[in-house]
Amino acid sequence: MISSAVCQPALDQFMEEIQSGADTPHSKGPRMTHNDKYLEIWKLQKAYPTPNGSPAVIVEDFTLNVAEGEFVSVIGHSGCGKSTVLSMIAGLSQPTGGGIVLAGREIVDAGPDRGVVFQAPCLLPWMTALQNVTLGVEQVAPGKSRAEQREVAAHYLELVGLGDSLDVHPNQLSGGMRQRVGIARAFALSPKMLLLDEPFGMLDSLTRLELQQVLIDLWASDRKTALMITHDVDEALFLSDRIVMMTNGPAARVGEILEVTLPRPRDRQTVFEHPDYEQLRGRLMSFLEERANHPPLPAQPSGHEHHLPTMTAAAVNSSKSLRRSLSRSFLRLSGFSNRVT
Amino acid sequence: MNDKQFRGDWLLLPLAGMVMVVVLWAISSKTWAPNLPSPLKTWQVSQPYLMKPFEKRGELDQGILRFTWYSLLLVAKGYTIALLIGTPLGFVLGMSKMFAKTFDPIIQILRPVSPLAWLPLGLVLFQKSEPAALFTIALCSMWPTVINTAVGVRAIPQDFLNVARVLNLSRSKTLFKILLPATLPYMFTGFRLSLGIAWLVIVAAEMLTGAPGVGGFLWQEYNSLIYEHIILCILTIGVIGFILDRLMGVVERRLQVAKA
Repeated sequence: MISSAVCQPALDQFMEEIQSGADTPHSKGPRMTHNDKYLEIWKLQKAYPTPNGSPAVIVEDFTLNVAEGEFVSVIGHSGCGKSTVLSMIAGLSQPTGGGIVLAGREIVDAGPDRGVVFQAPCLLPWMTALQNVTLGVEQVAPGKSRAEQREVAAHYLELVGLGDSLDVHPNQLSGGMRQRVGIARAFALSPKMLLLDEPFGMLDSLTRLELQQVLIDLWASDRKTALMITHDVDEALFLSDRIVMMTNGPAARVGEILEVTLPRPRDRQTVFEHPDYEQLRGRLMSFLEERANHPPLPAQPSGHEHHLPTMTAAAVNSSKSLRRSLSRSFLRLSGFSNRVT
Repeated sequence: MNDKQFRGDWLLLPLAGMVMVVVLWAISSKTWAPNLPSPLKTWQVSQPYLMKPFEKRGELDQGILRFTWYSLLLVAKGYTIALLIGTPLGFVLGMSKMFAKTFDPIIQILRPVSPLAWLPLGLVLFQKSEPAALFTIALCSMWPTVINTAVGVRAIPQDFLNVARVLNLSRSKTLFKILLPATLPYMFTGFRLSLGIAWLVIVAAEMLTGAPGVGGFLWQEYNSLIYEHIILCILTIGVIGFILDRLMGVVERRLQVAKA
């Protein structure tokens, strides 16, 4: 399945890691790390056989490198195959072509070294919040005592603001609180990377803003490499270091890649008021509105030097008014934003 | 329909319904069904069995609850066998498409077969009445458990299975932490239906084998022409079946709550 072109760099990277000590925590800066190809996705393809013979190609030639400690979002119209990419990285679905290498190992199956936050929280309803998180901790830390495992789980639940709801069953939690448990479960695994599949897609907009803040704060504490699927432009800008724009399916691929230069740590108000914000948002919008459907440029895995076309007047206007109304409503509501929903 | 509620309707309305049926029964026994004992006569003749429900006056002459106890013991044994076979069978059917395809037709064929048809085969196989009765009870009552368990396993949301895969849970952990709890509400619906059938079968089984119990008593009193006791037995069987179903229902509802 995987060709030597992928294996070779993977091997090099593995050697590099052995020499540099792979698991040292990275305190600052997403791109200061030694490893620019922490996650390597190479010519990924997903096709399903169809009755009429020619297979339906969902994702084609998807190539992307993610550096260690980087937060990358994949954005695209719904149905473009972005979730398919994530489920292949998660190991829940097998690619029909190309390969994925994470921290020097090819991904062949699902495993707790990748913390997945699903769109639906996917909590087990017969377990309490604590038991749901502990179930994962048991898998990654089998050597620890039960009490220690529970302590780790409780710690992460406290970090997402659920310290008071450890023994509550999911059906007694609100949608936002359930997703908090889902996030705690992913972080508690201390995974090599985080995979977030439209994690806030099922929440109302106020809860979504709150949880984005929870996520970014939690992420800032240890800068875990993260890949997030989203169709929310502001969410992608607020959280990411880079945004990968996918073309529309069938045969979706990487269209353009946008560097998000906004300084960290981020909070919503400073991000909204940053002079670059409007322009970044305009680029995303104009891609999604105009170029997503056009035949894509050949994918450029580095993503650093792109000629991004200037946005149209329409895109600027729509993005400006949208942003203003969003920022207004946020500021109005931000008095509530510390409360758990 | 005028569905007004009033205080005590939960008790008064069912009582009214019962009184109506008893009146109809009394009228019937006076008019078109002369052999049907009247309610009053039934009560008088049944009194010794009801007032001293646990007395043992002879092998075939015992208090009604004593007979019921024998029947319940037999049902419990047969039902246990049914669950022990039916639950794992249902799990395998639910998990393996190939297994389901292989055995589904034969299950659909065997399922509607009456206990009256299985019992003679049981007697041929085991030569004794009790194992034959157990065989019949188990075979007739296990199907709802098998089918509901299989449906429950197939209905497990993909989300839960993804969690198991992502966390890389071992086989036994997946079974006990995910598959079993997710299937339990369905399984219990099966258990409840199975118990109802097991209790239905007991009468037929006892009638044919002559085992002491509420069904055996019914058949014996028919042969001795004491028709009042037939009615006593019918009512007893009904009440006990109702109680069993309610008990299972309480447990089932608790599990449904846990599901949501």
